[in-house]
Amino acid sequence: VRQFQIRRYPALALALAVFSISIAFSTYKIWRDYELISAKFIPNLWVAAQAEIELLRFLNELHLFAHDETISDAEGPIKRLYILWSRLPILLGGSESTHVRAVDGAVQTIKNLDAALEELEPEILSLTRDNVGSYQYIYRTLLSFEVPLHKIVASTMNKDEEVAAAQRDDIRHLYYWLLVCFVGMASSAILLVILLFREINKVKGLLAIAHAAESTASAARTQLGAVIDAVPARIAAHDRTGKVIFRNRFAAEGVEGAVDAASGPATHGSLDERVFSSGDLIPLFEEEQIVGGETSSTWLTTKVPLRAANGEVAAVVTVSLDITEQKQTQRLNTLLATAVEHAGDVIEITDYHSRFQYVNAAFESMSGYRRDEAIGQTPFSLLMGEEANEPYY
Amino acid sequence: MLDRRTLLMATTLVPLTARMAGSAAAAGAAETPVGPTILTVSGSIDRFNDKGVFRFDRAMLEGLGITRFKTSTAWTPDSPEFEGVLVRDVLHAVGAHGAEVTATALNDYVVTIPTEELSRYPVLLALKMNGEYLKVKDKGPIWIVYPRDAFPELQTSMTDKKWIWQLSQLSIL
Repeated sequence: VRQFQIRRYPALALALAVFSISIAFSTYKIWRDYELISAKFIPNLWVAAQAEIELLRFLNELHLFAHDETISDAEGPIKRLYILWSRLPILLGGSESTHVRAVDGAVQTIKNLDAALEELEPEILSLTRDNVGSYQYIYRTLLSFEVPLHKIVASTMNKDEEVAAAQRDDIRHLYYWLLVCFVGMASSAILLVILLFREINKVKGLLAIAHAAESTASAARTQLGAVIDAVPARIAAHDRTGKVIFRNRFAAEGVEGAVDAASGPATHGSLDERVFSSGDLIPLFEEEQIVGGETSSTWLTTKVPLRAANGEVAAVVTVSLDITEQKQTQRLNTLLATAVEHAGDVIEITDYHSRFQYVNAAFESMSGYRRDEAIGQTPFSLLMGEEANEPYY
Repeated sequence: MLDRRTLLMATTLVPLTARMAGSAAAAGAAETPVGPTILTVSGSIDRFNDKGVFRFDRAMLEGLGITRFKTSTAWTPDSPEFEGVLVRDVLHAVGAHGAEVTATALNDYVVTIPTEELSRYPVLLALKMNGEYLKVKDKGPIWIVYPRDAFPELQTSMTDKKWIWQLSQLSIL
């Protein structure tokens, strides 16, 4: 069983640890990388390209105004100026243009364009077809921004791709870790279930064994009880407080008859105490029950310690055998023997082969043989000597 | 400076609106713009004030009833107060019937908005932000504004795409 536990429990602990770590780590990852999962990728190419397109559209409109004589006023260039201008703040702030601002020199170029528009605004508003110099100045100034703006657009596109790739990598990493956690969780859960099933089966087996042992023990107890009940002696057990914890039928009958010489704590308390303190049994001793000043019964009693699993004396078993009748017979025998011994006539008792088994005092005085000489001899051998050991007829 | 710009825009657009007013009068129907046209509605509409279209100047739009609310936006750090007219009121005024509205900006940016969405939410044609009229330079003259704070389901990038600014045309399909 010990070996079994040593092998089984580390596996259970390992499965539990892997399971807990997987759950904890994946929870941490999901919580930690929540922003990554929820972050939306905003391509900046659109806003960058819009600025360049609007610059080109403005230049185109300006060009058209200068060369198309059917156009009477500068309405077109003015409209496009403000649309172009409206794009610049979007590039200088907000979440749609972070990649644009990350491009080297982009912010400065855009600020320069903004300053240029500020400076050119009065000229554009007062633009007339006749003022060729003003038109050329506006056109050349803004055309100088075309190449830098185009470079910003290209760099923004690269930056977009760079950020998207990094985001994809991060998500792939997270996905990888979550997959590892999932495999850990799934495998440890399977292991846990298998181990738990085996534990349950083990417990079931142990329970079955325990049940069997219990019923065996119960049967043994019943048999032992029947045997003990059949013994014509009072058998009872007392604990340290003197309480009866067991008693056979004979002892119980004695109690019902209000005569409890064998197990009464009043008479045996001190003897029980001795067994409890010494742990030794008290060998057989005779005791008499006195009722109304006279001996009513005689008992042969012994006390035996009953030990608990930890070795301590838990109870004292008292066994008392009623020997009243034997004692009375013994007393009668003593009386008869005294009468025979002191009789005036010779009294002898022989066995089947006529050998003396007993001779009384009168024999000794009448025959002249001592009792120890006569015992074992026949009358013939006593008279004729050892060798003449013939049957006496 | 901004005022001067507006004034100038107004003057340059006057001849155009004058022509428009004439044709609308010929149609004998609705009110016609006096100031510069800032919104042209076309497509499946029942009412016209010009050839197949309905043109609005700022005063006409404001005449449909002003709505204002504060909301966060994807383009401003704080939550400005917007003021303007509800798109559904404009659609009602021109007798629009169609499932979709195509909105076009001055820079030719185009988005399509389901009319169902416009009747469900109080979507604004914002004319003012924080009490100031929107100029072309700052996303004017009209900016479509969704009440994204009152309706959190509108806080998506798909909805952000419909916040079309420098709006100039609505076409009902």
